[in-house]
Amino acid sequence: MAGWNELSLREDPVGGEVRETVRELTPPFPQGRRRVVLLIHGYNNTKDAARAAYETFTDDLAALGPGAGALLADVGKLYWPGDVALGPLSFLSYPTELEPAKKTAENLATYLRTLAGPAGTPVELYFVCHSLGNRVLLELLDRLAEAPAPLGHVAAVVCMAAAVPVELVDAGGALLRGARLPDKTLVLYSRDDTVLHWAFPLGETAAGDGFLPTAVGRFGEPSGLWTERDELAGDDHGDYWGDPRAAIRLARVLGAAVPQALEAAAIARRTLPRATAIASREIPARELQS
Amino acid sequence: MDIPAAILKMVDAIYARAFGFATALAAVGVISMALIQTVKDVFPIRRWFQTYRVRDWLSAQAPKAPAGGHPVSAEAAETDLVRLATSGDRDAFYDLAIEQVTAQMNAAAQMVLDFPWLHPDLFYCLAAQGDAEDLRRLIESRPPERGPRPPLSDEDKKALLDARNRVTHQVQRSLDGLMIAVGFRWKFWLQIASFVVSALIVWTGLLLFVPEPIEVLARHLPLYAALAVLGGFLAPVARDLVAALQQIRK
Repeated sequence: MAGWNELSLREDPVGGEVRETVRELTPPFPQGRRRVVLLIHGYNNTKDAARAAYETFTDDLAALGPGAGALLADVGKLYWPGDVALGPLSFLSYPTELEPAKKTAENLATYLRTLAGPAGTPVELYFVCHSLGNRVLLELLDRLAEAPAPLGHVAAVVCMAAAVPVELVDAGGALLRGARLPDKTLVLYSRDDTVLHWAFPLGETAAGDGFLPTAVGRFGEPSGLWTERDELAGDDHGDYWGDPRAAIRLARVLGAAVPQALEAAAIARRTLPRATAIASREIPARELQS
Repeated sequence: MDIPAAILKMVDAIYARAFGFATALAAVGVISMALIQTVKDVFPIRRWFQTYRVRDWLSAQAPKAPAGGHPVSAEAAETDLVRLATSGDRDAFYDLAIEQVTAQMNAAAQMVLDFPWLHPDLFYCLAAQGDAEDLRRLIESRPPERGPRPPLSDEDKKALLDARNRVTHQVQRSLDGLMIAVGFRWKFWLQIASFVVSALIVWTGLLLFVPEPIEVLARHLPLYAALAVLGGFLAPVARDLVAALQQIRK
């Protein structure tokens, strides 16, 4: 089990309200650190489910070697109540989760404005978000763009399977200002994400956030906005935290040396076309007449 | 003409002539390795070696550091390093394998990079190859003696973070370099020691067990010396040669 720093905006482990203040579950983290990497989960995650997902991710990070493993001291797992206590039906709560996401962003922004590095020096902030956690992030960045953290600097964000309508971050979008705040933005998307394909447009429409919008995490749009985009081909919505490719991307964003496998190149096998049989034709014999 | 049989015949001939010599040298190699290992286990050779190399490295770093007139003391840096890395236990620190020594140095370096003004000598030694402006910026980021820190502009905040990132990278690469250099030097001297010990064993054997009148011995001394040096070089690999020859014969 790699990584242990935790912050919480939950009142309850399942469902419940957003806390007014961030609770540091493993103090003194993140106070006094030069760099803080916050992981933010998506909707319909209880605290235990989020913790399990985070742990697969941090285990993958630790498995990349000592360089990447050393990053874990900077990683913090954030819990927020993006779920309701409806058991198997809690996935239907999506339309009601946008308000908790915005409130989480508001309270987290207030907290981050109090952060300081060693001896009151600046601190670099990194965020790794999944699904609706990206909405929390973009709402947070919008608030930090409005009223910056005195000592916090948003260095980079990694957006996995972002459940955020493209219109919100496209030209004239309400969250565009926040999306431009980090020095580096890496968007990981997948065309094989069935949740963003089928459920997201319906959920957003039901929430009154747009009419059948396309999610950022579906095609990585708008392509000109993000400093880097990468498709994690084959990943469905819930696969990102457990995909070692995501851990590798984060390690690179944080500047850790990770082993890189050389791409295999194979020459496609080609065969000659089947020889076409030449049709034979017989010319009827004719006799010359004398 | 049976070419494979001819080649095998030649291998057999080499085996018949060289096997005795190679076996003797293999025994010399084993004895010399055992002697060196015993000396390493009984005496803290590696600790002395690493103490010398790290001190030497810090002494070489100190004059290179762009300290802006601040006199950099390698001795003070080393004392601070041992205090931060192993709570002042010098023997425990230098007794580690070099990979662990540099890992402990890296852990100490994190504290130094967080509070460089508290550890100026060690900071300048570790970051000697860093940019002078970056080092100055980090040293001057110390909080005021009294009252709150004046607010930083966005540009100052970004510049300080960038400087810290560059210096951090530089320090980590310096420690990597130290680890590689010390590891290489340690292996190199072990190799030299094995040559010397093997040569001494061969030399002793020749002097003690080749019965010759004194005047013949005196004439043969250069030859024995050459044999001893040759044996010294070959002994460490003789075991592998013997094993390879036996493998080929099978």
